[in-house]
Amino acid sequence: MNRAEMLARQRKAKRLLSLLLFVAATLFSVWFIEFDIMEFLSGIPLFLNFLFVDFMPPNLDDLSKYLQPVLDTLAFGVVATVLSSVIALIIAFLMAHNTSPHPVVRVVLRSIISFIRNVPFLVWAAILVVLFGVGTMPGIFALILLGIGFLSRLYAESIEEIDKHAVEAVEATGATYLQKLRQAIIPQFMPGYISWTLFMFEITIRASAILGIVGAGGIGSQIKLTMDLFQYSSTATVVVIMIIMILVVEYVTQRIRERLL
Amino acid sequence: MTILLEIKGLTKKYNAGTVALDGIDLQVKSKEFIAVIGPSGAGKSTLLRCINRLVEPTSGSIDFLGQRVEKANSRDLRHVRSQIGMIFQHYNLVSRLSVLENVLHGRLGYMSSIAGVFNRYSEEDKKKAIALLHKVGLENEVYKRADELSGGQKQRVGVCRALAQQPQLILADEPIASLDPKSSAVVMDAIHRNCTEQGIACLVNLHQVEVAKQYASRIIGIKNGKMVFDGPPEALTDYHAALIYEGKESQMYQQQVAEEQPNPTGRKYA
Ligand SMILES: Nc1ncnc2c1ncn2[C@@H]1O[C@H](COP(=O)(O)OP(=O)(O)OP(=O)(O)O)[C@@H](O)[C@H]1O
Ligand SMILES: [Mg+2]
Repeated sequence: MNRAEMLARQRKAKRLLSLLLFVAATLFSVWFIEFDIMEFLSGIPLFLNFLFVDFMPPNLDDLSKYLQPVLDTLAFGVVATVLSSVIALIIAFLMAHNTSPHPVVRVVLRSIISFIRNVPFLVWAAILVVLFGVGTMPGIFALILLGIGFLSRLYAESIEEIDKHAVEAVEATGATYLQKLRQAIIPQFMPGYISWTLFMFEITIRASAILGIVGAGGIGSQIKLTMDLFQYSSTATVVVIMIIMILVVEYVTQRIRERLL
Repeated sequence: MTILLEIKGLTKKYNAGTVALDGIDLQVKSKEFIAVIGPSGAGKSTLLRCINRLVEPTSGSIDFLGQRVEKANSRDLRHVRSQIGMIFQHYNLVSRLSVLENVLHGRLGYMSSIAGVFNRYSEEDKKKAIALLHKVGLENEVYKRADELSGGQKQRVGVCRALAQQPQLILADEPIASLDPKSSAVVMDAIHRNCTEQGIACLVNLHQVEVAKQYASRIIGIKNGKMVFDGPPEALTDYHAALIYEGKESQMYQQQVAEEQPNPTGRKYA
């Protein structure tokens, strides 16, 4: 048997082993959480009934009532995206290995960002609600934290990927650190910056819909409110509004992207 | 003629353990046009890049106009760099900026940090930059984006960027290795003519002995990190050239036709 064949066999064995482990883990988990497949299956019609009977038709009487929360959500999105992109930009320059002033700065920031990112968004929101009380502030702060965690890392990665040769040429002219950033790094980083920031805006809009559920304001709070009052047809309206809003935001950011890049 | 650059015992060991330069001594006087030749991996690029410390020398001294480059702090190093223009094999332009902006980068070393950040180039700098572009035949490309140009045009922008520094010395690392013969001639002419006219000294790495002989006032041969030839072009006989390229004759007259072949033994097993 030659070497290539042996390696191919090893790979096959490994794949089989992974599959077995996966199946075993799934079976164990099903048993462990006492997952009842019958309950799950019998729940489906109930769910569909809820969705299509209780929710339908959407109550369109008080559409105007939802204008304010929609505007709120969009404003949250803009504020959170702008603030987090500015903060993340600075962090990213300090964190990317080709622009970081010192390795210690880099490592410290990386750990902080990784911590922010690894605490789930809803946990941040819940903590902030406790700190600031129910309202819009914790929502915005949670979105900013989400943005900082997400953007710092992606910006830093984009910065690290840019063509280092052009940067070197600018350094060779005797440029200072800031001149190098502005003249060689930022122009090359612009496309990445724009597309990640627009993407962040989309994520923020989606996330702000969820935020209402922990009492952090925005359109999401209308979902919780109407459901708590059993006004499911109003809930349906809110959901429809949210979907339309997300689609519109997606469309607009896509157009901006096409125009700018 | 004044001594511009004095290198003594310059050695560079890379982390991987490669000794790229092994005790180089070199004096460059003003207005000299020096071609550096040698086989691939000889240390030519390393030599040039140690002079403006894009690569940190391991030991030895580099004296540029009375300033000890290897000991310079960052401010002094920027001052040294501002007086040394550099031209690269792959042009190294900032592709998303205009041709003019790329040329103006040559002025950064003479401006305050803030002025450079806000693009506050003086009118005079702009006029001179445009004049340089006219001179190399890029009058219609001034406001184009750098990535819209052909290779030969890009390299002329690179030459203008170096000239915009009004340097004492230009370091050119294989400026024509990526160009076709016609563009090569245009670029070499532009470098040579401007250096001669403005009294700029030049160190240019070249693969082609013929080109070196055509332009240089002095030729330096490097092999395995050591200087093995130093003299006027007339003194570089076929015998010397053969010695420098011993065992690597195929690289002597022509640039490598193909890029490095992928190593056939390095093939991965599927
Ligand atoms: N960054 C680096 N890290 C480690 N080794 C390097 C590095 N750069 C160059 N070397 C090694 O140093 C030696 C000299 O390289 P250098 O690039 O100076 O040669 P060169 O004469 O310019 O060759 P070429 O004609 O191919 O450009 C080579 O053996 C090379 O592998
Ligand atoms: Mg080289």
